[in-house]
Amino acid sequence: MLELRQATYRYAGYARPVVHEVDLRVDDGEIVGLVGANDSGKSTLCLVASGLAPASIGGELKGTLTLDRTPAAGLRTYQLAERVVIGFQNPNTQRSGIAATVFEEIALGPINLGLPVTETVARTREAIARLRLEPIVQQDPQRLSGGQSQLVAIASLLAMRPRHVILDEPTAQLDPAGTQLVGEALHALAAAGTSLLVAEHKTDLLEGLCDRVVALDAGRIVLDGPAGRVLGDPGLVALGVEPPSHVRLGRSAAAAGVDPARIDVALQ
Amino acid sequence: MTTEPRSFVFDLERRGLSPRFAFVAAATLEAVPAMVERAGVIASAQRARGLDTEGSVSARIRGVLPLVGPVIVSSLTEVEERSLALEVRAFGRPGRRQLLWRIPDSRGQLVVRVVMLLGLAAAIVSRLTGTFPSLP
Ligand SMILES: Nc1ncnc2c1ncn2[C@@H]1O[C@H](COP(=O)(O)OP(=O)(O)O)[C@@H](O)[C@H]1O
Ligand SMILES: [Mg+2]
Repeated sequence: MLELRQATYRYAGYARPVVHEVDLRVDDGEIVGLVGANDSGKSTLCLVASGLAPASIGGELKGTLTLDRTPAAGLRTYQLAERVVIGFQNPNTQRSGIAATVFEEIALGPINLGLPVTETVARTREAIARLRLEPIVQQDPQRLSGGQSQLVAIASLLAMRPRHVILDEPTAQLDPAGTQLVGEALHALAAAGTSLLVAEHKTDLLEGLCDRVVALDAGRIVLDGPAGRVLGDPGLVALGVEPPSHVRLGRSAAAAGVDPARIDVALQ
Repeated sequence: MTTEPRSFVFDLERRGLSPRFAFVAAATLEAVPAMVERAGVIASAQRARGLDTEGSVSARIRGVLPLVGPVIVSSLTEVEERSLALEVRAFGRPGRRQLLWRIPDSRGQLVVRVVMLLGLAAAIVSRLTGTFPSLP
């Protein structure tokens, strides 16, 4: 369980906070989606929930982050890494640059945890299987497509076997098949008890993935509830978030005078 | 350029260098081709905007100076993101790591080197004494 209470965060060297009084709890096995316009504070909130803001990048956090009853304040970055991982949008900066093969790249996290070789190999194989990366394990990580790199970056996090996973736009580089693959892997993680927080523009993905969705506006939570309800909320568009396609279709139908229920039936 | 620096650096780590230093050394070696590549991209972007990066030496130096800033700045922001991504993977955690790779141990290599040197000496001697078999 990951919990933020009254979290207000200000970047180092800036006068004003960009995340304000956020209360957010992600239970074990729960997937929470995070939506909001550009610059609404999704990435910052992800960093705060990971503990890296302020543990690594500095700045000031008011309020608390708790990871399975352990307060994150005062934990070193490598102690945070044993409890929570965060994935970023750009896979290129998430490559270690020191691995000759995809296998070694994914193994780096478990190696850093000081695990015995057999355990490192087992975790690496598991992460590879989750994202179906078997065909490219021997390839050079610097010579992959954007989509492959993103899958390798996610697998590199999963190999840590974290209790909490935060992903900031994990599917930005992925085609629909890759996006679906990530969705399945995240479902499997949640089923195993991991708590997940996923910031995404793709509301179609979030709708199938999340138990709950939280919407941010100017660094504050303005909607929080079951995925279907938040993603169907009439106020979502005004927040700069594109609703899932079936919601948009239903609205266009209604605007054209067609009964939306008939469209839903037709789509089944 | 991928396997060599890595095995060199991990060998140093096995001999007691801290993982942090090992990484800095490895990443520096690995970063060179990436920087060269980025410089190439930026150079062609600047050329597209009419900058002269060819011609006389002084013209080329003047042409290259505007590249230095962008190459370094874009490398620095990447470095910041990179360091976060590494910290997420427990980089910098104290304690020994169990590496996956076995680099051929130096005793074996020593034997190979000695054998090769002996072979070379034998070849030279046989060549000088005229007993070296001539190649078809
Ligand atoms: N490293 C940083 N330093 C200072 N301000 C930042 C930094 N990163 C983001 N911001 C600011 O914080 C606000 C929220 O940005 P961000 O969290 O990236 O939003 P989103 O991910 O929703 O686009 C923006 O106003 C942005 O300019
Ligand atoms: Mg963002």
